[in-house]
Amino acid sequence: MKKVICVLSFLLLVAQYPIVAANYTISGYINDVKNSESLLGASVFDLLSKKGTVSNNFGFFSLTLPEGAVDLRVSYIGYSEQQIIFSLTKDTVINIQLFTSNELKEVVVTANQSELGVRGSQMGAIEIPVEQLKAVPTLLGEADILKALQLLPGVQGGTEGSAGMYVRGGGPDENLILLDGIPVYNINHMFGFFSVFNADAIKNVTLYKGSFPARFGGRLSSVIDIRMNDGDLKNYHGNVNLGLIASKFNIEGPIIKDKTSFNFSARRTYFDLLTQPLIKKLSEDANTTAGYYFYDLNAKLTHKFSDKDRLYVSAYLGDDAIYADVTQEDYEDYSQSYSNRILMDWDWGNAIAAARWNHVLNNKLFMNTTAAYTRYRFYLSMSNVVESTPPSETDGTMKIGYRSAIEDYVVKVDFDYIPNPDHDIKLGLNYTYHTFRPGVNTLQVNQNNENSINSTTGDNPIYAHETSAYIEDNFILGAYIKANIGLHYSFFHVEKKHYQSLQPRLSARFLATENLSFKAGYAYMSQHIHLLSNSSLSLPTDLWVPVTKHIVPMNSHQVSAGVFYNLKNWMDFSVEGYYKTMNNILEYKDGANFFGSAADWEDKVSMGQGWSYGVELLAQRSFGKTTGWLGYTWSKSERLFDRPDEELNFGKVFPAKFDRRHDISFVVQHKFNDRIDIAGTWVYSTGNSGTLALQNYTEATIPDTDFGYGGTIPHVSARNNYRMPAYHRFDIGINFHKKKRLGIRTWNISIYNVYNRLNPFFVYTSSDYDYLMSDYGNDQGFGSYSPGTEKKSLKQVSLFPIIPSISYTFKF
Amino acid sequence: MEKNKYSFLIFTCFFLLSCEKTIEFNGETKEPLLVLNSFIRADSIIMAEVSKSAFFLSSNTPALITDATVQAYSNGELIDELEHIGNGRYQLNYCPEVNEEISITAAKPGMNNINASTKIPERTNVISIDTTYLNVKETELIQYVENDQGYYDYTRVGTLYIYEILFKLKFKDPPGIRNYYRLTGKIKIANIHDGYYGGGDYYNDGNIYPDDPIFGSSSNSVWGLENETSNTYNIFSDDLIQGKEYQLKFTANAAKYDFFKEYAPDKPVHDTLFVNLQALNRDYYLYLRTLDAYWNSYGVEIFSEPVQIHSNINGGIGILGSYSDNLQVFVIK
Repeated sequence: MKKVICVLSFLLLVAQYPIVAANYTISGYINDVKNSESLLGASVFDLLSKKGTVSNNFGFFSLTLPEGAVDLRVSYIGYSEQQIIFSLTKDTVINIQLFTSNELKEVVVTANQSELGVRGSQMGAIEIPVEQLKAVPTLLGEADILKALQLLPGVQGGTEGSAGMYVRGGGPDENLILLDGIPVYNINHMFGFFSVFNADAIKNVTLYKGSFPARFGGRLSSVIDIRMNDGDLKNYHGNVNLGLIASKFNIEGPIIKDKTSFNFSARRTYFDLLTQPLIKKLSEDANTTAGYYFYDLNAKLTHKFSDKDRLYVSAYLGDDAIYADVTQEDYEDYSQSYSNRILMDWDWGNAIAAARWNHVLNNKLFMNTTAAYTRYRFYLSMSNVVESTPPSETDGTMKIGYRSAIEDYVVKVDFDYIPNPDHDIKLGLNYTYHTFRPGVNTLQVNQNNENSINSTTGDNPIYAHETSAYIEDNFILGAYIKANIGLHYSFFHVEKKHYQSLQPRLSARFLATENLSFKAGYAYMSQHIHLLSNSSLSLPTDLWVPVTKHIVPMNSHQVSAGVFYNLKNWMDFSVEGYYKTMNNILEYKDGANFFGSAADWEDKVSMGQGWSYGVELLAQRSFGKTTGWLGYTWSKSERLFDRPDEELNFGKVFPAKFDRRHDISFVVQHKFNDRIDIAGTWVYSTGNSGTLALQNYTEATIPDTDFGYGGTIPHVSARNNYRMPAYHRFDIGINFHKKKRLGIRTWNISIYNVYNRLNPFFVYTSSDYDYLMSDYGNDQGFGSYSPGTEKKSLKQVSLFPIIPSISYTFKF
Repeated sequence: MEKNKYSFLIFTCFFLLSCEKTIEFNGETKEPLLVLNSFIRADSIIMAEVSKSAFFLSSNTPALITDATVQAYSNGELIDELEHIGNGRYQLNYCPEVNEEISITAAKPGMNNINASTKIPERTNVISIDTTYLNVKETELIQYVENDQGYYDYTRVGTLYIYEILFKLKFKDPPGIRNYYRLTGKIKIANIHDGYYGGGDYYNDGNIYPDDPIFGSSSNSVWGLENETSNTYNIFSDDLIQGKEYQLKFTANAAKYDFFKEYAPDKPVHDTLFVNLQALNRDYYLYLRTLDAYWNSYGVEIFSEPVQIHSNINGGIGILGSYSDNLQVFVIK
């Protein structure tokens, strides 16, 4: 702790030094002129002093300059640059509003001024404009931000169609996914084929893969920082979208013009409604209602008290549900009838609520205070009701239930302190109260109006306290060097045991020329929670559990270095290399399976270590008529579990589950004119690894037991010893826009997997027999068959062939 | 509208029907490997089983090898060749002792030679063993005798007492080394069939019910799906008791036969329990643990991690393990 205080004091001392000169501060918010939506990461640059800054996550900026003439250039990708020339004689508040621009010539792009570009100190991070992410063609035309992120170098999807993310060799539970700064625990709908984020509600997405700024913590491999739209302060508008499996609706506008706004989005699938006739048809003897659906609701209220105070209240509610109601009626004889009704209800999903208060303490100090609640829960209920007329002894009800959840209450305060253009200091405190509710079973049996059984079994809730504090300074040292140095401290207390760690972070840039920079970074991360999951698919029974006395926190060290080049403001290129080590990571033991119960989970996992390294190439164009990116990743990720009694793969090194050598993604979007635009995606990746037993052999006779022996058992020479065929796919989507009296309508036609590549979902060994027909037939005169030679083969199961889709959007 | 409905149903089926196709195996096609399975018991003759494996895509099944050359070595010195006694089983009349290192080699023309070594662990240091009779169930002992009409007459000849016995076995784990244990139970059940008293059949796994957390087995269910961690072979390591004394708890059921005087046999009739806390070497322990994990996940492989059944045979597959007994005998009186 002393170290933290020392570093803090040093940073503050250094930061104060330049203020001795006669300097004044320009501060304010940067917004979109049409709807007042705050612009995150917009560049503010003074051409005369060559000093600049970027707006924070709430659009606030602060720039301290010497007294005298100022030539400010304010820019943001996709917006016309604004020039402001004035004489700076005192501290000045300017709220800057930018115009959107579709013309390349109007955009004097200063993307390389941003923290993620050539001139920024941050590396291992990518920001893709949401409009670009939304345009990426996806399965059934459902815009999916996480699926689009899977196309970036360093990010791998899991099995086909899954929304699982494996970033730089990490696991799917090592990603911190933040919606307006609040963790989201379940990011999947429909077993991972769709993500929970409704693209219509999203304003900005930033992915961090390494060199994590100190303000982030709690996960090893990535941070996905998703920000929701605030809502238009000036005008009402929205859109309606009708797709093949889901419809969406979004509306936003002012409640009090220029003061209070709202933004509301809703999405629901209607697969269940459309398949209802089929289900009715198939269930001939029973009266059946059944189906599956998911929905999302996003809402946000923004109120501007003054230029210094703003309040944001946001909420997300999303659920998946499977339901069934089957009633079967029968007559035992003419005197008695009975009905048997089976009801099933599965629900799982997130609920998030957050309130944020922005307060500008002075023109150099910005404060954001957040209070939030986030939870993921799974609930299952099945009941059976038997009723007879007249009543009989068999009448009664039986109900079984299961529920599990994780709940967090979060309080945090963050400060942005920008004493001068050479320093941008962020510091903050965060407290989270976790409640882990592992699986609880309930059973109720009621027969003949007597409550014969009413029992509840399962584990008690586990409570944990997590506290973190951070400080980081993004500073400029001379003309060439810019660095972000920080410390993140975390403290986790669970069941009378506590863990703490001090995590240094560093990201530095050397600017060789105006368009070329070299960067390097280091990050130490620690993680205190784990996701227990049964398979590569995301199942609702997946359960978050905290560290224990025996299962200690995971941690990782990552070093990275890269070259960044901006080619004449036309395209950005980057090459990044990384090496990451991971300690105390978990893998399931041989034969372990998980069906939603946390009981004995510690016995089912092994603790070990892993490492991954790779090179990522990215060529990205974010503006103009043709946009997109080409990404390539060469990577390797391995695991070693050799601790006594924790051995996997005989204690030898083995490839990680989604270790893949090559990943290529090519995403291109082209706008022909205001009426037609087109987007295409091609992805290629080395096949996933799997485990196959290549030999079968005879089981040993075990002494002193009568249990079966002499059977055939498989020999698995190594974990993940088999490589499935390569994965590749081409998707395309075309938008046809037309201006109508009340707005713009868009028809989208998409084709997923255009050349119908049957990509592997999983492979298995199949046995077939050549049946031999006897010559003479049997007594009934029919030919009889006998099994002949067994033929074994390797079968591949694929999920998605070519899938066309169409959707209609009306934007008003 | 009707047309639209059917179009939608066709599309739905198209989506829901996942595609399956046969693919070529792109790895190296493996020839069969020699398999050696043997567990060396201290103070007992050496037995081994030799067979050959089958490549997983071939239509062949694993086959016994009856003409292999199998040799045993003690601390690096050749003892002798094992003799084939049928069904791929080989035997050598040599009884190794604890701490002796036994190596076995097997060769068959046309296949890779294989070999493995094992060091026989020290016997378990059992300090004491206490028994407590927890429960007793009484039932009538009935003798059935066929009468002249071909029916059976039955006569009560005494009382059968079935005891539930709690065992507390205290042992000392040797410090400084990793140790592995297996609790086995064998019961010799009194034979009272056909009016014949005495003799009896031996049953392994006899009526032993481990009731100790060190075995780590558990069972729970979530909405009907069993989620079981079993410990079929009652094995454990000294992970939690390294170098300490430990009292192992388990229960067993056994019977005592109390005949009426007029039906009493010449000698007492009772069950006999044999409790054995074996010391296993590490390879044997890992083999049993992984074999158990494999059979536990059998049938639900798609939801389970694949299991690597432990093998320590160089150049081939199988297991060469070793163990030593510490046998305790209990006669139920």
